[in-house]
Amino acid sequence: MASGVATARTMGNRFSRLSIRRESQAYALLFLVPTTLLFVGLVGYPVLYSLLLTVSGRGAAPGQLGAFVGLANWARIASDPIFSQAVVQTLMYVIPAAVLGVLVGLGVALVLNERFPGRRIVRAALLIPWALPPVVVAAMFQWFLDSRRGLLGQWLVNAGLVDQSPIFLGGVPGTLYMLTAIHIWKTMPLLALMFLVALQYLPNETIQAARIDGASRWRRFRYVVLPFLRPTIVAAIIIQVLITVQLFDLIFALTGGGPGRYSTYNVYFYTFKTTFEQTDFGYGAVLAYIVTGFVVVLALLLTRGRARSILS
Amino acid sequence: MAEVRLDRVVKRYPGLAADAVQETSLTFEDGLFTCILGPSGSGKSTILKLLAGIEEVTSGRILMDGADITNVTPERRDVAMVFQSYALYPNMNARDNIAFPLMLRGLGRQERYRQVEEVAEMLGIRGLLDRQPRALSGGERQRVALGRAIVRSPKVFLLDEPISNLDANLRATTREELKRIHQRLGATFIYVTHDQDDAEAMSDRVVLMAHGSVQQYDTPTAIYRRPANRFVASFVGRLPMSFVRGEIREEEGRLRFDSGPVWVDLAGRRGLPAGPVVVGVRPEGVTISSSRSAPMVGKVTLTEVVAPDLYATVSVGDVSLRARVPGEHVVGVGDEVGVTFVRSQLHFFDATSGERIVVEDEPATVRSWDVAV
Repeated sequence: MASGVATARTMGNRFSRLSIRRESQAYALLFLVPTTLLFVGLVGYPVLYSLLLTVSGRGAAPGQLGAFVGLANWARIASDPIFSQAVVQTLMYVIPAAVLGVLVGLGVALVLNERFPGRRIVRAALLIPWALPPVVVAAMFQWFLDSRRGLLGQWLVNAGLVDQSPIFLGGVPGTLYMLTAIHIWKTMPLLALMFLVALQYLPNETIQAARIDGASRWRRFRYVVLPFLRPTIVAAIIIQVLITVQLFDLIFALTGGGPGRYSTYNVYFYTFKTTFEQTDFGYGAVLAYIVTGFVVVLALLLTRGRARSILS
Repeated sequence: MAEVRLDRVVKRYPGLAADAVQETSLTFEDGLFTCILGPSGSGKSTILKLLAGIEEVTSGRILMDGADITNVTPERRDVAMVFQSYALYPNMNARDNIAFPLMLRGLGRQERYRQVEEVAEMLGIRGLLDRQPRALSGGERQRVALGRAIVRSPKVFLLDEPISNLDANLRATTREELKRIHQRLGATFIYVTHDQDDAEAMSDRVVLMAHGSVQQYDTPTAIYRRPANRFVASFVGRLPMSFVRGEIREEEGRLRFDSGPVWVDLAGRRGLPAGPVVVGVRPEGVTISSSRSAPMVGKVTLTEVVAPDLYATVSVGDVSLRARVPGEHVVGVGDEVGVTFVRSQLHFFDATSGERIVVEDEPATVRSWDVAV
């Protein structure tokens, strides 16, 4: 008898607890509605629409869906020499930008992590390239690199290194490398800042302990600082690749894709040209999907790596 | 094994008005365990950093076994240091942390790890060698840090509050262990702490510091029994010393200390000048009794238990005195008690400078920090 009562009571409790849970679940769903609507409207719809674009021919007006063409737009990738050229050139941007950018950023961070007079000012000044609007950067370098009146050419002439100011933005693939250099100059502060922040978390005493243990400057870097920075280096490389894959403004403002017709194209720039200048929205959407796919994979690598390093 | 000497060392940080370390000459004797004791900001850690070489002296010299090492970089000084934060290398397991100094000396992997095992055996951490620092408890990290110092068999060990982050029980056992390790290695240990229990439990010598200067350099017992000034007197001791401001007078050929409500007959104590003076007395120098016939009578205002003893604070007029209550007595707040001083336990300090007035019949304190190099 007593046990029967107890059972009834516990069952009653269970029911009331369940209903509370149900009620709070309903609230949870309610609160999720605005975000979900925003996400569906601003991301879901364009993604689906552009997916439809990839299987459609040219419509009545740019951006409108035309006749269904199946995977014809996708098939064009295989036989498009400009696309393959753009892929190769994307790598020509990305690889040096990632390797040199991270190396330079790391070097700058290590220097700025040392104590020296005026360090604060230098640290603040470091951010200038990153803070400048891309169009300003482009205009600045256009002047700086101008073949007739540019400062750099003049310096080289004055230093007696060359007789005549060279043409900096005219060669192939020299122009592409010039753009890469400017891009590294612009992105390096971000990378240096990442390293600088990480270095703040390396306790000073650990470095001092290594000194007392007999480690030279190089060995302190090699055995203590570098292993400590490894996760940051991986993150910095991925972020730099992500940024560089989406390099657009410098190309647009400085070379417009030339010299020649395509020599400084990357896939991203080619996507823009195809979609908005040739108004080939179907093929443009295919290219956009390819770039997006690459970016998403990298972003996943980055966040999963983060999660792993946090867990450990 | 080494003797370490500070010769007129000054450390000044730019932008700070006061010197972190005022001109100090001090000899850390070979093979002894010396504690540098003082409150925070006293300059004790700065001295350790100067000895390690991670801070540079503003002026003066540092000598190790007579050799000037003032300008030798920390990498090349034969000293090992254990930090309060342990400062383990976060990306190496315990084994490689301990082996790191050996690796830097170019020892092969096998020899390195053999020596690590030996040290780990001594510290009882053989089972932890494969763990990363973040998987170790505070006490275990402390041992690894200690192991990293021991494995180098350095001439001098510098320890910067290595056990102050441990809980009380572990602190006590670690003190024993450190003492044992010191005896076994016979090296010079210089140990910075703000905890007088550390100094009492382990050290052969104590350097007591305040405001960047050495207040007293002596054995732990002497620091307790013959404090060199009022600061030392109040800093050392589990419960604070009571101070009474008054005057020494000669009456009918007998010396007498008098502050109004509190007085004591000083017959037989020679070398005490007449005039204003501050008397210091520890709780064990004040005896209370139920006898109303005692020279002074006071009222208990506070009782404290510091096991196994009971302490009572007694008001005699406007003077507060803390007394240790003898085991068989029970007192409560409000009780009237008789108060007597144990004359041999009275300390006399100059009323203005606070310096100890040395009484003729007591041995002079060791003042080796004054010894010119």
